[in-house]
Amino acid sequence: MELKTRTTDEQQLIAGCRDGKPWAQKAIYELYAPAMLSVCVRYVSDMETAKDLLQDGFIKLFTKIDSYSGMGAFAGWVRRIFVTTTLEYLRQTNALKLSSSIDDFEYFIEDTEASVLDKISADDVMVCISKLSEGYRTVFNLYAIEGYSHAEIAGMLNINEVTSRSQFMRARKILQKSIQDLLK
Amino acid sequence: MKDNNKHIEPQDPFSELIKQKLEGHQMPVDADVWKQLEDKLHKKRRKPILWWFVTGSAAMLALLLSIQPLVDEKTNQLSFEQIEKENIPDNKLSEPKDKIERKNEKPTTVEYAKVQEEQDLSIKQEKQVKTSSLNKKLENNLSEERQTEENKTDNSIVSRKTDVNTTNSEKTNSNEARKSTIVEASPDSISISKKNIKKLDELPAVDSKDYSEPKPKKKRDWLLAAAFGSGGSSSVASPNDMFLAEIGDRNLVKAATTYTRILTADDFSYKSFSAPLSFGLTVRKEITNHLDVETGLVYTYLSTSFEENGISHYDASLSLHYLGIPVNLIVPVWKDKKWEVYFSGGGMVEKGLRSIYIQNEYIGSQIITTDARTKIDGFQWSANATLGGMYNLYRNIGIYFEPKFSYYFDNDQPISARTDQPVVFGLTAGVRFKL
Repeated sequence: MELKTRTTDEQQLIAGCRDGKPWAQKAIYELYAPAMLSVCVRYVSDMETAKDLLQDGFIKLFTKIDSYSGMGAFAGWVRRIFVTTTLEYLRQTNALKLSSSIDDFEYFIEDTEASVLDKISADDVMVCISKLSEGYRTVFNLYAIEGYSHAEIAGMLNINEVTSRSQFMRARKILQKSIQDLLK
Repeated sequence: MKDNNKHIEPQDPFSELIKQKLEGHQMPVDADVWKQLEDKLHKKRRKPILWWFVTGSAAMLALLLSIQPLVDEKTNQLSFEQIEKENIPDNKLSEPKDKIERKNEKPTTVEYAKVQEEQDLSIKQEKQVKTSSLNKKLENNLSEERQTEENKTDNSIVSRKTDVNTTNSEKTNSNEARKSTIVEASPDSISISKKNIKKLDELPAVDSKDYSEPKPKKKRDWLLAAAFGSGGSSSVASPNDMFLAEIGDRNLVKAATTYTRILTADDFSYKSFSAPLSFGLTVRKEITNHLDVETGLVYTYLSTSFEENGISHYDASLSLHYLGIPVNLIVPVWKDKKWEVYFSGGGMVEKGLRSIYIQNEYIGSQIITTDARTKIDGFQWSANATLGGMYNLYRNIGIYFEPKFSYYFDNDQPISARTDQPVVFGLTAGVRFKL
């Protein structure tokens, strides 16, 4: 019997991808695909579209890997590629027409406590996010999860900062209500 | 996006909780996503198995085409001669005595049908008619000769020309065709010497059968076959795999693993059993008119891939190589010139040559790969039955197809498509050569 164990780190994989090695591309895909599919689903909600975007994102990743400077976390660079890819798709499909109504959720909802969120799974949260309209969902994802500022979001979505802020507030309220409904 | 994920503005508690909840969230990805992506990434590359299939098919086609001219050449020569003879008017068939005698030095073939396919039947009928008329004529002549020999010295006119002609095409086309045939050259009488008449006199009573050579003992053909077969793939996605527990050993590698961690089948929620790929060389021998026996060597490749995309993320592949000896009995069901349908049943014993297990664990930004190559203990026994069909392309070459049902006994073998589904429906196709 022959038994061998070897460890391949991220730098070896990046170097392999730069050389166009299929084994390295497969390994990078295996490392990041599950998390990146979650990112895509969070933005587009439809699974088939998310899978297409996942493929597009990886093609972009492998073709642009030379542009990764090595400074900063590779995981962050990868994530940025997928967020950008989904935003491009949403722009192309005119899905980012943000709601201008301010009367939808003017009623007051108490802030959801941590204990409430502990009772639901991440998958449940994903379902609740998927129920948001594309505009609300995009702004909420970019601000609350990806960590962009409203100024940055305004620039990315070609809207003004106030609109981004108001969209986020509405999205948060809808999401809070949706989670509370889930626990009833 | 900011790599440190910090807002300029402070995050509200609700959003912060959502972020914590979803930050490391992962979703299982179907295997076909990578396959599609791989195709897009490497459009110009072709999978080795496809390449081999295309190359093999091309080689087989080239072989068959290269054989065809040889067959046609022989057939064409014969046909040309036949057509020439056909075109000779009947009255021209009476040739001068000396010319015919010269011809008689060598066996000649006369009067075949124009087309080879139509030839056999017409020749047989013609032969029968001519043989019987010849026999009668010979009988008459012989008796006349006997009477006149004592009294007369002039030559009798007797024609007898037997030409034993066994053509290659007749040999193979049918058992009848293998028999020697009597071909009569000319209905006209030809003078022969007294010496020859005496020889004729010594012949037993004239009968059509007497003009045939003694019936040869039937030759039992050997058939050599090269075949490629596959069948019985499946994919299983099951969290705990309880229904597979009956298979037996869940270890993917039968070896002590003290210094590394080798996962078991139960650690994976998704398994994909590729269809077994077999390539074999077999020989078939006719034992009786209604029974053949077949044996040979068959190589089989079995591949299974495993994947887990839950909290832990890892994948693995298990490749098994087997070499087997099949023994099958074959009973012909129906047969004509081109087609042959037969029933085949039997078994196979296989010995595992090598097990190759490769496991990848994706931990953080690292991949830990374990590669274990081990021998395979024991034997795999199986039984199979098929209703096969063969199409004869040429005299000695046929292609055959065998939709096959196989049952693989539980012989404590490593996990594969066979352990997942012991009853396998597969298709074998190949080329068979008559030796």
